[in-house]
Amino acid sequence: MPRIFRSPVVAFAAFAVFALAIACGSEDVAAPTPVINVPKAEPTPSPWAIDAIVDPTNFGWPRVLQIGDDRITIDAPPERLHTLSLGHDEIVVALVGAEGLVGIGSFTANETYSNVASEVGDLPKVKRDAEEVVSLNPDLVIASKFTKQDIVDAISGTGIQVVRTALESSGEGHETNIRTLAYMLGAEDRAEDLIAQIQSRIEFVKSNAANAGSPTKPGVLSIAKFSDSISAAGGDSTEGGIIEQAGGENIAATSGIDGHETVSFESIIAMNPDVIVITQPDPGATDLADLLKGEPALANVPAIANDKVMLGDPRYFTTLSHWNVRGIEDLAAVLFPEQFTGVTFGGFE
Amino acid sequence: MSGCGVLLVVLMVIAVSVGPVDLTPRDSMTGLLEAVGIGDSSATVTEQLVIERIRLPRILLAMLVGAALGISGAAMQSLFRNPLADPGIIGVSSGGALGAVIAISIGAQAASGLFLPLFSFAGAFAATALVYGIASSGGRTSMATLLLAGVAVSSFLGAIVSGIITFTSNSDIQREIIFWLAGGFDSAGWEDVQISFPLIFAGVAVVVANSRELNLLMLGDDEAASLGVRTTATRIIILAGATLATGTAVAFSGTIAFVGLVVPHMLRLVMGPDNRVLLPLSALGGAAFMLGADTIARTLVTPAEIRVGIITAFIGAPFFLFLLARNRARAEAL
Repeated sequence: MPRIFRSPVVAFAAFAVFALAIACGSEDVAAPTPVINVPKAEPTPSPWAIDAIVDPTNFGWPRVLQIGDDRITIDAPPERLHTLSLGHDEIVVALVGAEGLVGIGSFTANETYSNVASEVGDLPKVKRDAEEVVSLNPDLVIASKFTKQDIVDAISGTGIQVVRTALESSGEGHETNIRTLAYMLGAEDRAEDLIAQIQSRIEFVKSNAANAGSPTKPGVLSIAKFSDSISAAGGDSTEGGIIEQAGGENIAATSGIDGHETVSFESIIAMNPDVIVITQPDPGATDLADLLKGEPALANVPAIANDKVMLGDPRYFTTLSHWNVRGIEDLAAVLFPEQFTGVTFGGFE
Repeated sequence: MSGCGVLLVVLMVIAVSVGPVDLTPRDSMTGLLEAVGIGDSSATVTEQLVIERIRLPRILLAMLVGAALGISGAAMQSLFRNPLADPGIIGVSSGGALGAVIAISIGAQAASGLFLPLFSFAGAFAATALVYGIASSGGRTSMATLLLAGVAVSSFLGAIVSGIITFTSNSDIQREIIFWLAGGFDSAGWEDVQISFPLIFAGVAVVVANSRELNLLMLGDDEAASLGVRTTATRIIILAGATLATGTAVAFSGTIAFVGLVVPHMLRLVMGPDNRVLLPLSALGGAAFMLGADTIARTLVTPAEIRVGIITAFIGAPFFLFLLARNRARAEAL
């Protein structure tokens, strides 16, 4: 054996290399190591990921919306907007101010029904007539689900872009309504602020109503009188949505009424509501309340016996915008008065 | 006639017994009897009030209006010798509607609930007077001209009503007008019955009292005059009676179609054309028809209600088509 291999250092080094070679070449090493399960983070869905917005990550222009069967592209923020409904006008004014509108309908200027009448007073007033709308030279027209199709076709036939959006009356619906319009107008920041206010106020009402500890929801009937006929708001109505969000039961919907239908005094007795809300303006509202209270046959109806006939502000009960929240608050204060003692409700910031 | 009367009583009993508030047959019967001063009701206080203050006045008003429209329709069909004539043919319904629309537009209804029927009544009479004035010349009134003038004036007044609806900027007034025009007995009360009863009764009585003369007028003016009928005066009296009855009906129920057109034809098929039988029978038949239609309207989709005009049209229109087909078949057979 050569003399170098007899050195202990060389021997040890050779052994180390040999051991290393065995370790690296071996596939059978199974040294136990601790396993820690780290949960995979789920991406938070964007609040802008609603049905109407095709790409909720796109906040540039152009923007694409899918509303029903219609795919709409908006190239730039509209500067001359006109809507064909009061609810849309109220949301637009909240998002971009009255300056965003080039004209309004008569309802929007009516202080009895409109929450933005004082802000839009100087704007031109037009009828729901295609020719009058076109005369405003808008760059975008927003129609409601109630707008006649022939008016929509006539306006769009002149080259003006028309978008038809349905306004929903539920809590989630208000958020969707606002986001859809805000996306069209480029008013996302203002939309977030407004939605936060709405959610906060509705949550306040819900929690206070829950604190009342009532085993059953109070039955609420919403009515209005036109000529000699009394109309009740049933399922799929703005008033019905307000009643449910305020913590009540829409007694007309429970009784099978859908939309707005004619009822009689006897119907009111049969439905036996705990609270009656009258949603028409005065003097008709007071007259109807007096009529109900003065009818001996209705004396045992809980709403009348307990003096729970409420005159609802038509601005909050008949519109279809975030202003319904004021209706929810006013009604909740009547349904659960102890829970809202000392509380006053105001407008939106 | 007695059969029609029995039918009316049966319908009344049924109408009292049904509605959104559930009543047992015993409660509704004893309640009805107590309401007319016989015995004590087994119903609760609220149920008794429902019978006395809500159902009964509505039932009676529907019967009164039905009677008015039924007899007026029969009278008009005989007077004009035209099977398409109805109570509104001389402008009564359109005039009454315009009067009511004016009352609503100027806010008179808000001042007092009696103003609306008053305006409607005035409108009905004014329209009839206008039509009669147009059709009369040199002391003579041409029935053909009366008919045509009635159609023209009705159309004209209807256009004014549409114009008021279109041009009024107040949406609440628009809704009030549209609801009134739809017609019905939703808010019928005892005051309505108390005011309308004597007026409708008077109108019906005037027409029935001239039923013999009306039979003779159907033979022609010359024949009627030779048999002692004062043709012009009789026509004016019958028209006045029919206008009084119809104008009152429109004032309290709005415009309800088909009753005055269809009921006389239904009864003529059974009883023949003798006005001495047909006219009072048309009053009873009209009352029964309207009561039945209103009972269906307020119970079919309870607690909601359908407009009674929808029910009368739903029944009346198919029957009218049946009559047309039957008449055409007869003409072809000849």
